[in-house]
Amino acid sequence: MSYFCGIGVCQACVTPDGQRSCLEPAFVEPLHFEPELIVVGAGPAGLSAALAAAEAGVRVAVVDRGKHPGGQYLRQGQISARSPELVRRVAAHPSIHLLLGHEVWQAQPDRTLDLAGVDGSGVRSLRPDAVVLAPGAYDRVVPFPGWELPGVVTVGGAQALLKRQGHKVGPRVLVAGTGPLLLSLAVSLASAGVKVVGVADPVRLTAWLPHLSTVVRAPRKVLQATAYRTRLAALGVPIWGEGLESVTREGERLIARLASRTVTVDAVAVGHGFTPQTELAAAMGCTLATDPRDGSTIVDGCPDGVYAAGELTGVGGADAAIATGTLAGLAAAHRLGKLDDRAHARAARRWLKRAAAAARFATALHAVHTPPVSFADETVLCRCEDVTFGTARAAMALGADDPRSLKLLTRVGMGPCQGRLCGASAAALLGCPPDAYSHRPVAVPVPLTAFLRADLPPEES
Amino acid sequence: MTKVAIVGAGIVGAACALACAQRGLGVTVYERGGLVAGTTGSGEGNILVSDKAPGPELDLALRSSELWREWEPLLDRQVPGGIELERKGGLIVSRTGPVDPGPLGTALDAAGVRDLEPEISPEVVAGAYFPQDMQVQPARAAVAMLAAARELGATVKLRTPVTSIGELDADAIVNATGAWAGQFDPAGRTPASSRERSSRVEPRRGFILVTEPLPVRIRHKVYSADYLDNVASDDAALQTSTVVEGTPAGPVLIGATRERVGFDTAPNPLALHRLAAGAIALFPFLAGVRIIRSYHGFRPFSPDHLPLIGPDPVTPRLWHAHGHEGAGIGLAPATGDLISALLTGTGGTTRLQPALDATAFRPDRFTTEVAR
Repeated sequence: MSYFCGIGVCQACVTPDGQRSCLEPAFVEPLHFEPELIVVGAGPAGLSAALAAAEAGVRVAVVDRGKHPGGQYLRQGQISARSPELVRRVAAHPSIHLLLGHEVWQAQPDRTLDLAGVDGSGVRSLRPDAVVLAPGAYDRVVPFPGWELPGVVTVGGAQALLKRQGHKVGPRVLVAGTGPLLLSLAVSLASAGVKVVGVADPVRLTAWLPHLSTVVRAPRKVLQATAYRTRLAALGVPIWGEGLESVTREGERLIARLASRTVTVDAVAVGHGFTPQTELAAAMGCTLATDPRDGSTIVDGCPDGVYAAGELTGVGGADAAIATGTLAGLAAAHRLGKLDDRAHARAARRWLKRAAAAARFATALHAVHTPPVSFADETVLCRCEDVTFGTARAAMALGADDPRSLKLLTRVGMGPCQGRLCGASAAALLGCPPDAYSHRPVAVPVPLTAFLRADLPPEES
Repeated sequence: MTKVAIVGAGIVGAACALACAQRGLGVTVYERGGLVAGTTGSGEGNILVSDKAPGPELDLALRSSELWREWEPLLDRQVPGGIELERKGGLIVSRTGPVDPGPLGTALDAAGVRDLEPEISPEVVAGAYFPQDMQVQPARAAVAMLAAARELGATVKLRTPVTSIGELDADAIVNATGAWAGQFDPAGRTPASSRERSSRVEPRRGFILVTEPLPVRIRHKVYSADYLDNVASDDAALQTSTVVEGTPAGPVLIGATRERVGFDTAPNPLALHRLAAGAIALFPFLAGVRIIRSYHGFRPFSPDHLPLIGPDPVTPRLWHAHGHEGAGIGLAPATGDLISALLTGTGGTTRLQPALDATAFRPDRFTTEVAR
């Protein structure tokens, strides 16, 4: 099985019959009420939005491609007494309907959402009075020589496959890139019996020194990072303060070259931060902007009745997602007349403070973990279409200076991932904002039959 | 040296640039956007004779097909991967009755159609085959023409809008702005009112659905016989006729819708619904194939379905080369050749055809409708 993102975004694991191996269809009960609010995404942001709105009296449906609620951060499997409190409260709420194993594959500014099961079944159209977009983010991987090889997977993908299916990406694994998630994955893999040969992140702890005032105001983060490092030391996993430079394949093994050492492994898990999922926001007419902190495309404004939450408002982690998600749910409840102005303002106040605090920490995190930016001509830029940086540069020499002309001349971003993986890198190469890669009217590949509408005649009369 | 300014770097502007440069004219191309920013980047790359009735447009198409083959080696050298000119042949099919093959095609019965396209629906009862039909990667072709023109001394100025032709140091200015030609006002008054416009061309929107990459299962350009009626129609409302074809890279392209709604970019579920229904009716296996993208483009619609090629009847120095609707990719080389022939004083004499009659394309045929 070949996979990369592990969470249904990149389309790298599509089987000949059109199914993504990393996703499982879920049993879905028919909607027993007409939702006033649809929340897209069942991670911390989406669940918080759903709960805040439902507690104000709104009938909510939550759509998520996962088989279980929780998103990348909270997903544990079957809901049980040991599930996170947020997941349990949402699952138990009578006014929240979970539409799991489903995706919104097309959306319009008038809030029409076209849904389909992850296996392409159950296509339907809904038009609620309010929509909260909380689709989350997926790993950004900055291209390096060999990132297109089978066995190279994202950090989030390796984590999701382990958490959800108990699938280990290999007996010997290197975790590389930059960011706190590397430590979390290394702990999970090593605890599950995987030999993690090391964690390679060129960012050293000293990089945090200029941000001490932010760090001391986030003691929980410090404790968590310390716990990961202590646990890795106990498990015998070294942390190398150097970057991954290339991966080559020799038979069944991968040879990973770091600045000062070479390791032989079965799999390499890489991540360089996150890319928010922006295609639905673009389709619904939200204003897009570039987050100056990490260069990702985020939502800067929404049309009437549409709200953005979580990573879509700036990559910031679970604390920011819970705060912005709750705020979005409250705003939707206010619009739907379930909260008056005063109740809305009162409820929102403390979440605004929490969102601001989470954003402060995220700003420092982005400043510390800056991804590498130089690319050799031989390095693959677009995995789907196997296009190198050299080919892209040749097109630029002919005059291509924007995403569309680069795509039309070289096929960068034209393949199954539609620029989800390569868009950020291609935009950096072109020196333009990455939001052009957000415009995907078909937000998720669907069978041709999904475009057929029962309410319309099949052919012209 | 005669200096020509070409406004628009789409396929028609690029072909005019190459043809004029080949005849020794001094060429400068002005493009307000980047490379292939308009209709050229949205097309399927049709080079068709099968959809044209005998007459001036078919003559132009036949000239153009010869030029495509002649230019192919030159253009292939200019861009990574080449221009992907495919001599794939066109197949018109019908579920109701025989298809008129005209002077160029071969009539086929149901078995004949199935020999060419084994996966076609059993409901197809007849067809007509046109081996002359070709397909090209239009964006690469346009960029290759610009690159070839540059090798001959032409200058290409991207992201350089022309607001008034008075500012251009040129003996002739060619309006090659395609679907935007009706907005092009030589005096630079914006927005151009109908009295000031020099062309009555307007946009005709089309949607395309793109499948995931597939192994070759559709070998020709296959379209239903009602396509011909829709192309020829003046109706502004949505019209759909099924056009299905594979591409060298694997995805299958599904068209074609036509509607005159200005430059509206809003999605149209009815148009996509009809594309899906039509494609499944022709190739039932497509029902299970995944769509990875939908997009739209704007064809330059001309009121009598013929392009405008020649001098403006009112404004000195101004020439027109636009209005090809959905045939611009295919007709571009002959259009460029004709423009260069007219500009160099060789009348309607092109290199390929000593006496191609350009009368039918003269822009002054609309003169009574254009304010003088």
